Amino acid sequence: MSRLTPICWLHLALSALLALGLAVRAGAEESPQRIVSVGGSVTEIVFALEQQHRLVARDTTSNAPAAALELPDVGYVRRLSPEGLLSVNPDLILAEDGAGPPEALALLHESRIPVITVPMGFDRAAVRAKIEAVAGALGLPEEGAVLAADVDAQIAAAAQTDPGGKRVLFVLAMQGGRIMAGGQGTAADGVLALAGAENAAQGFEGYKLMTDEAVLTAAPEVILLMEGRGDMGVTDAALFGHPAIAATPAGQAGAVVRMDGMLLLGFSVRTGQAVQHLAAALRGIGG
Amino acid sequence: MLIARDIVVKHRRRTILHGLLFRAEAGQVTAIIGPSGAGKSTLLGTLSGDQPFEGRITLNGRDIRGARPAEMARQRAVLPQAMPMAFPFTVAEVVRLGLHEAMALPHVVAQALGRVGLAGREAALFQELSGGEQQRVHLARVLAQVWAPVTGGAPRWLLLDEPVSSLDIGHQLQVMAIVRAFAGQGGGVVMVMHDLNLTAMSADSVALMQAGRIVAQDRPGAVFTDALLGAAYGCAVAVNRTPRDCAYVLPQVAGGPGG
Amino acid sequence: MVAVSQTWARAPGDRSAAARRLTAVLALMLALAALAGLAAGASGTSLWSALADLAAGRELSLRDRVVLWDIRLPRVMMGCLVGAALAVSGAVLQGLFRNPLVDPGIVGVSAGASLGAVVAIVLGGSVAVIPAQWLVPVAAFAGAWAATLTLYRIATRAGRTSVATMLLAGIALTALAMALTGLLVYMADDAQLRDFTFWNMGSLSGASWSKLAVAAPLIGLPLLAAPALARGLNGLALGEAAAGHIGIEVQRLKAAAVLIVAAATGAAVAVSGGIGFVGIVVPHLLRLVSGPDHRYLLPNAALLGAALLVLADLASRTVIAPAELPIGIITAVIGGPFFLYVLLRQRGLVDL
Repeated sequence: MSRLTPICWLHLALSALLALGLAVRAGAEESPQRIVSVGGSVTEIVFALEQQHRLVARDTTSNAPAAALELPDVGYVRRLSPEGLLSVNPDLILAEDGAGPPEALALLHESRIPVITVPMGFDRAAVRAKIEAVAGALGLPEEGAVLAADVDAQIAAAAQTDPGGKRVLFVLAMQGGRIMAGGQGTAADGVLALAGAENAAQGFEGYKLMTDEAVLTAAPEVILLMEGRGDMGVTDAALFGHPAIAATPAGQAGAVVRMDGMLLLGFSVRTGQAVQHLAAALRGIGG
Repeated sequence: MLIARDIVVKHRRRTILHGLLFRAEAGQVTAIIGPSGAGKSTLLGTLSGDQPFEGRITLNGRDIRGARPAEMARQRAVLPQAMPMAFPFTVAEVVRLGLHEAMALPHVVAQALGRVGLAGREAALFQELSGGEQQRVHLARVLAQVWAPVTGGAPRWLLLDEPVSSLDIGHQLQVMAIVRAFAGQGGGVVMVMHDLNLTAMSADSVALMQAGRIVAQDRPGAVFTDALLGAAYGCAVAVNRTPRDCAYVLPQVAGGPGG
Repeated sequence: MVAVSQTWARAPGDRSAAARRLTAVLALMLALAALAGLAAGASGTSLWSALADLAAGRELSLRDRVVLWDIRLPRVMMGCLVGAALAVSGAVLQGLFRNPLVDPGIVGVSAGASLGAVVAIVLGGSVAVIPAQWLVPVAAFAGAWAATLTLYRIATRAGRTSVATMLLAGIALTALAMALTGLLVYMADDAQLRDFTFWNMGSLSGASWSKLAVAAPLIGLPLLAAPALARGLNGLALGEAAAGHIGIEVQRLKAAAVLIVAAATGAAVAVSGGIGFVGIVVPHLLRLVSGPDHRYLLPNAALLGAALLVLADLASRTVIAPAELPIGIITAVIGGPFFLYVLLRQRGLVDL
């Protein structure tokens, strides 16, 4: 950071003055009341803690619950608009790990607006940690602990309902007949593990295109899809019309499970519900 | 004086000019003639400094090898054959391209266009002109570049590659008159020509080329003979003389109505 | 000198007087665009009340200061630099290649920058030497330079650069860089993929004083040097040989043009990502209005490119506020149809 021009010095002097003024004001405030929630899972937790009245804006990925959609949208979680963030006059940014870009966060820092980063992860412990982090930021550690224990118990209960370790292939998209599946380290992999199922897509990280032969070799017994968002969804006809899928056990049995994307992959307060739902659906298929 | 000695030009492995000697005097019009593929345009391009060559070329006594483009541009202007313009320049803008701001005389553009018969066409877009008009605009540009035929005691030069190729006979004569006037005021002119009769009428010296060599360079009367032209062009020609001793050439067509 | 150029201005067929008037109009337009860029934005911060406060010796609120000083002003300045760089680079390359359809991308700048950016985004985590927010721009700039200089070396033989070889090799090199980019995109995880997609769509939202301090000389110096190419580029319209005949050092001109474009576009793309259309549309429009004379085309392109990009950025951060639209989308959505309209109306004048 090279600030060399005289105007920059003026700028520095101004900042110092303003920082002084702000420090005086900050003491008067107890806990943040104008919060921007960035990341779908974070927003869900805020709503579950019934603190939505403290939200002033959300990011594009915060689309659940429906009431969240009424809040102004400050952009995609990794491409937040700095002036957009400032325009809602926030006193706290509560963001998923990985929110950005760094320049936007640097400007928030400059404006003395605190940013609290919530850790991400795709297992039981991560959900707990996330809820506790959000509740802590809201100044409600006790309520947070209760909610976290609640959700954790739900997940544990769901995980015990053994569906018989079915091999499941999570298909993210099927554009032009190419299958994009969820490999290791994805939310899909995490939720399958919690539901006691086996991820049929092995040997790669992230969401990748799978060749037809790899799909055949993976031999999934069930295909897991996100619920159709309009025309974006994969229809049964398209799915089972695919030559590789049609030849797998799942294809022959017509075994497919569809779930809401945010519910399934959010790793938030509804994850217990998601795991239960998924496990039940898997149990319902072919016994 | 423009002198080229022992000029060898090779393109890839093919030798195009075989060690030729060429000279042109200031105050004269020197024409280069010969059949297609003889190397006329290559010779003119070499004299212009366009391509690498072996040998030595001096313009007004100075070696052109290693001369800076700007220095060369003040001593000679070059009119290549076809020259499409890349962008929609006006006629006046094209003519002005040859001018250095430092030597710009306000009326040169208008006068140069007037000389080639395009007075008042300054604002026309170059691309909307006919082929013949475009050629004359470029001639005006070249004239503007070496506006004074003699500067500081040194002659300036016009190197023209087929300056009348797409002109009607009236404009051909107009261009020949311009060229004669330039030489008449002490400038030097070297031009590649296809029209033998126009050459015989306009040139003071003629270099006849064949297969990369100059087979003869002399006054037109000496080069324009049945034997020399017939051998170079590989066909039968009959050279006649006007009452004022200017040569003119009639092609001999076997079995034709005139034969 | 002055007397001479005034005489020129009156000569028929000489559009320099009109071009100079256009320069004044464009300068005014840029000033207004910059003012609008400072005055408008997602937040309610008002430039006028802030100026009134300053004039009255009152303190600005921290938020207003950050919005005006750290967000809008660097963005407007970056918009000026990037817009001017893209438009001038387009004009210079079109002159060099004697073709009005050439885009700065043709010398491999965009493909090289993309490759650099995706390398940084996907493999970047392991490089600790450069701070995170600098990694992508630095890598994009390095990629742009590497691509252009490689291309220049390939096209230059025995001290002569073949423009045709450069054009063809540029296509091959671009294809190669795109393939490598594709490979890295394949390796990318979801978040990296989104990052790269957004980078590719272009944005000025990363503008900051520190970025400006680095980008300003990298873009500004080539832009200041560009007018020196004007006479040479005019001559080049005649063809390379004829340009030499009228006294232009053609090889030096080519080298200078490529270096200027590589530095200006490389830095512009590095800080802003892919912003299309400015490099083609701006010079083209100006040629229609005031002719192809590069002595006026280059400065006018800088002014118009800057003004257009500042306005496009203004749209990008207000249309869907408080979120923002990538600027590349705006330049393409507005630039594409507008360009087509101009092209169809002036069909006769567009000579390829």
